[in-house]
Amino acid sequence: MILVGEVHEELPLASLIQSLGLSSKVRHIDFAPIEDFNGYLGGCDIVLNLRFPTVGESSGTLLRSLGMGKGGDRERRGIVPRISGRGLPQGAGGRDGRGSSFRVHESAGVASGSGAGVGRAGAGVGGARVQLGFGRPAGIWIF
Amino acid sequence: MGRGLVDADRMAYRTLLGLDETTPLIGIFGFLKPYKRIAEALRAFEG
Repeated sequence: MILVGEVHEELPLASLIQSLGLSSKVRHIDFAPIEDFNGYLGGCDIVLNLRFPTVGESSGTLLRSLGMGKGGDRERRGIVPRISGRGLPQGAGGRDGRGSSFRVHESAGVASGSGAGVGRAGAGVGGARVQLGFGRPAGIWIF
Repeated sequence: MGRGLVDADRMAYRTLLGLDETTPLIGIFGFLKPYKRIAEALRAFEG
């Protein structure tokens, strides 16, 4: 996982990553110029935007990811879990003891989704069906 | 009016990160504030 952006002073990111034992799997990249921002975004299989609470505002990152063919956006019960991806291998995922989970169920080729631009996902290695939960009601996203 | 879409090279920055084509890469972007549930996202991947 990569986190690209400045860290808010109220988020103890470094200690959080270390305490979760994720130092070898998570990399924080500080503020990135727009060229690098787009480059890292384009390299991702999944882009998370879990803003909560929300008043329904849009997400610049989500719009950029849609433009790169990484479709997907789902709102449910006041939560805005946003995810976009392509080409993840079946079986990838993780979970913790508090209901957070992430799982790729099956390869699905270029599939339906609520986002525009999913048709370009086939340029990668195929889409994937992804289920994502963060201890709250969430949903299933298909790409 | 409007703006063209960015056609990003998937492998260019993956290579910078030392990742091959098959390694799943998940990203969170922007100002990393608590209400964006960064901690919850990280916990989903805890060993």
